[in-house]
Amino acid sequence: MQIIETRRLVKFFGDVVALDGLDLRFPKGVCGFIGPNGAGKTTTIHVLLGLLKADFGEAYVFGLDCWENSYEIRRRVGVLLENPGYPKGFTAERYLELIAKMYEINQPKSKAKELLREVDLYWARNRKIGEFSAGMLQRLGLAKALIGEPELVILDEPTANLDPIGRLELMEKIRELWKDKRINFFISSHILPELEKICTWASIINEGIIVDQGPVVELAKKYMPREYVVEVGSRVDLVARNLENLNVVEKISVEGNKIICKVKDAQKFCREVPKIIAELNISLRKFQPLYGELMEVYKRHVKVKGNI
Amino acid sequence: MLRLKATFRKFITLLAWELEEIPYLLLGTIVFSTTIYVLYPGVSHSAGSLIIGELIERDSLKFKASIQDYLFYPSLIIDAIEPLAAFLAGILFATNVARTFENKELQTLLTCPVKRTHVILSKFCVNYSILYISFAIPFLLDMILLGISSLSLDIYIWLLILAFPILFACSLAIFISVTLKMSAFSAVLPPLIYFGLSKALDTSSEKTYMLLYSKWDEKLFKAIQDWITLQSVPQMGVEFLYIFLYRFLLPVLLLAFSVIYFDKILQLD
Repeated sequence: MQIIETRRLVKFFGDVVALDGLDLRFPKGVCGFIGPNGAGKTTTIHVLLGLLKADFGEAYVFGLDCWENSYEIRRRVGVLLENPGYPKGFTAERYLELIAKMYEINQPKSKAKELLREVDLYWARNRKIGEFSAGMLQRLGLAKALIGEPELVILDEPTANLDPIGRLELMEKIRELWKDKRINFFISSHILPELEKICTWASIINEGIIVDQGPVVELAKKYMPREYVVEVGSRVDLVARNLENLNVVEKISVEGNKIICKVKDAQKFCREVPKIIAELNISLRKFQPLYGELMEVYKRHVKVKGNI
Repeated sequence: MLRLKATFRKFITLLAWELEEIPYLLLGTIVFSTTIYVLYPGVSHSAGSLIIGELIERDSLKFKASIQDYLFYPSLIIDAIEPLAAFLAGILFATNVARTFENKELQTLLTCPVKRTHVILSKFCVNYSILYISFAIPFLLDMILLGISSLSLDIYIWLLILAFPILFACSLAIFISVTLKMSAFSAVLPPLIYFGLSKALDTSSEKTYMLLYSKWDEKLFKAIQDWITLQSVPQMGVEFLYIFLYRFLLPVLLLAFSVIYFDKILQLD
């Protein structure tokens, strides 16, 4: 059974088609839900949570209809929305305590404190939410998403407003929760390099439809990168000339010690580069795709549609 | 049974949430303004002083101001309570319901395992109670100041009657807040609709709106009084139907529609 499944999901806002027959699947693990602004990511999440009703099509979470069984779904799902609203007069601890009560958690107060420690907000537990910075609000939202001990956590742009260390910590936390507690994550984000490190599944949405989806490993194989960076210790020009002579190389440019190649046949190129370097007896410092695997998949689909 | 208990606990949690969410400043302002308004001689005491004046003139030794005279000559419900309740309910529901749509607080709350019906009913209950208490306290105080015993049964009947105009104001305000989802409209429309409605009723009826409804309110008061003291079934005829429709059925329908709309139809983007 899929954790999330939608079939031909359609949603209009007036004349605007937000979802245009969305067929989303997510079996388990950590799913990156990727797409440009206005692609329909937030609308999809709102439909999955029963905040919006689809005009046509079906949407299921844990096999439950998202509109009819929204309450049951929300009992098993933790959520961080893109722009969440909080009661500004509450303290962080009181807010989480009340949320914990809604999830029927035993000892809600201690659970609230535990979560505040986890997201590094314990020091601000008695502060009013209205006094929180954007980053602190994001952390509070994460604590709220995790407080109900959910089977699935839906995060809409979770790293927005977090500083670099906060982002790293969040990614690490997600990886840990999936590995140790088998909590599934469905993450909508633009920050592909971060997602790439933790995602097991990716769904790419553009203009309200899923353009591709599957395990990240398979997508990476399917969309072999076409731009590579080769960094050598010395004789950069010589290496560049040799690479240029390969008939699979379309375009080449040199930036310091780095050679950036756009290729036609990635598999052949990956076989040839180590050979050339070995023949020239030069040390190879780096040889990798210019962009991450997810970015490559994303670029192919979204660029074709002309959205970036 | 356990499920029922859990549901009840969640509803209590939501009530606590709503109560804590209403700013103290707003709460204080409402109680203060209602008290000042009610105790202002031009409003309630005008009725009281008229009665007192008449009674003193009639029999200076046997001064007995009746609560009915005080309440329904002219009607305090129509004169003082309804317009102010419509105005204050508009402000309360705009702050506590419509604004939560605008700042996404409601969407965030509804990602938790709470039933939509419970959310909207908790908002209604808390705001209704605040408004009811805001009116009940100063009116009780006023009656005591006028020399009516706090142990009088009439006061408790009056407290029951008071529930109806406030129910109407709150139902109207929640209906507007839920359907329009904009705090500006939610604050302004309830008093405007109230004045529009009273004006329409005023011109369409043979008797004026004020006198008509005041008379009906008084009849309802008397019917309840008779029912309790004489144990007799009240005979109100067609007037009872009107008062039932206007004072009870209309607000309940507005509230029911708001709850059903919020639960089954409303979409939160």
